[in-house]
Amino acid sequence: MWRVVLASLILVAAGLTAAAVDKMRFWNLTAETIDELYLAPAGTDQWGSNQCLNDNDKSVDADERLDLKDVKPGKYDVKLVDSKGRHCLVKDVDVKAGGKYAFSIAEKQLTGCTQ
Amino acid sequence: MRRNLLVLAGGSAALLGAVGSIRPAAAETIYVTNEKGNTVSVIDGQTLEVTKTIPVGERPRGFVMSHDYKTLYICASDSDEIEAIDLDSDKVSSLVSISDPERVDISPDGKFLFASNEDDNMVSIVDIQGQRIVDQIPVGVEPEGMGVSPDGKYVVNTSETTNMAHVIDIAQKKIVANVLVDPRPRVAVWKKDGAQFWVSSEIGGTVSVVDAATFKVLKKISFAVQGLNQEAIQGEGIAFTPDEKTAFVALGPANRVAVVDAQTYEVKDYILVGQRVWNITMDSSGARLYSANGLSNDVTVIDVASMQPIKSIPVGEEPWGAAVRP
Repeated sequence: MWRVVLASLILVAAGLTAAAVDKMRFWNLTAETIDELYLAPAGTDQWGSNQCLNDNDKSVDADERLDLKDVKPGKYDVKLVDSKGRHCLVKDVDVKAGGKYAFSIAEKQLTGCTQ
Repeated sequence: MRRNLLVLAGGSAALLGAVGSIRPAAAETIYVTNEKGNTVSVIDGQTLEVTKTIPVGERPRGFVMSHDYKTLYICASDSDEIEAIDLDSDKVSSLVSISDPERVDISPDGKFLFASNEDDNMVSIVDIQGQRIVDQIPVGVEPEGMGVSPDGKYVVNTSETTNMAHVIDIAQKKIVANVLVDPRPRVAVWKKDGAQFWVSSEIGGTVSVVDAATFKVLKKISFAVQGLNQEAIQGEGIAFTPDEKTAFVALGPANRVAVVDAQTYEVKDYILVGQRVWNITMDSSGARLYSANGLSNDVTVIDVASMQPIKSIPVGEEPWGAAVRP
């Protein structure tokens, strides 16, 4: 009996893990397609890889979502380059697990951009 | 070509209230899904003011009205369900649990819903009375647009990444044609006689007119707005006047709605609206067109007779589309 219970628990745990991984996504609420997206723990220069490479067309269109890889919940600085050529930095972004998306960036947050 | 008389700062339609007189409309009600706000804004068609805001599930996007106009079915994408709003009581209930529904259409007999499941690459058929999924048909990657033919024989689904319009035979529950269209197709809308369906393409910035007898593209309609590069011109929502002589096409970040002669396919005009116009809806009389503007968080009301925007109505966060109840 205990084997059945243990197996069930493992399956449930695996399901929860998979679900949590599935839900680490970025939601592009800016006006533009984003071609490059990097995250670093807030206040550091430890930039990760370009998350846009996870997408089929290597970019994330406005209102689309992007699967994040190797990103854990926490506070991050986010650097992006969009189709208009804007280079933007958004600081202290909360990246959360457990929801349908981990974080979003809206147009009004893009105050620190250079071209 | 008619020239718009309005000059709107920053593409915003905020100044529209100052323009012209607003024609009185029938006592219609407009329902706007706000995909970030998780609400539906209710607009009185006579005063053109928001009268109430209905909380709904997460990320409300596509919707369809029941044929008796008593129920609005909405895709609450992040809640993984289709919800039903009783439009007399504004009561919201879950109709069916379903993975990431994005858009939905209804069968001519009003018994079934057809929904795209963006994450699962499926089209689901929902028995409304039984509140259950009765069939699922695999389609392309990131399915979105849903359009049921007027005779109920076909449903067309667009897949954003596969760049196709999939024609599904509803009785056979299988794809009978794949129509290649321009990149990132969004919306599929049938003409009333069932002879054509029109498909918009976001990245392509075009509309493909598809012959429903041969499933071949008859015509690709392109758009050009002076002062804007082509990347800013994206095909999104499509609506026809009741006589179907004129079509309107939302152009996304171009902040404009194109006016198209639906017989010659000539683009006649561009109407300036709010920012990143997404989906558009014609009222049943053909007097007004409503555009949901995702970035400016408003709805632009266009007077069809004059082809002029007459009012901008602030709604919730990230409005996605508008449904009209006569």
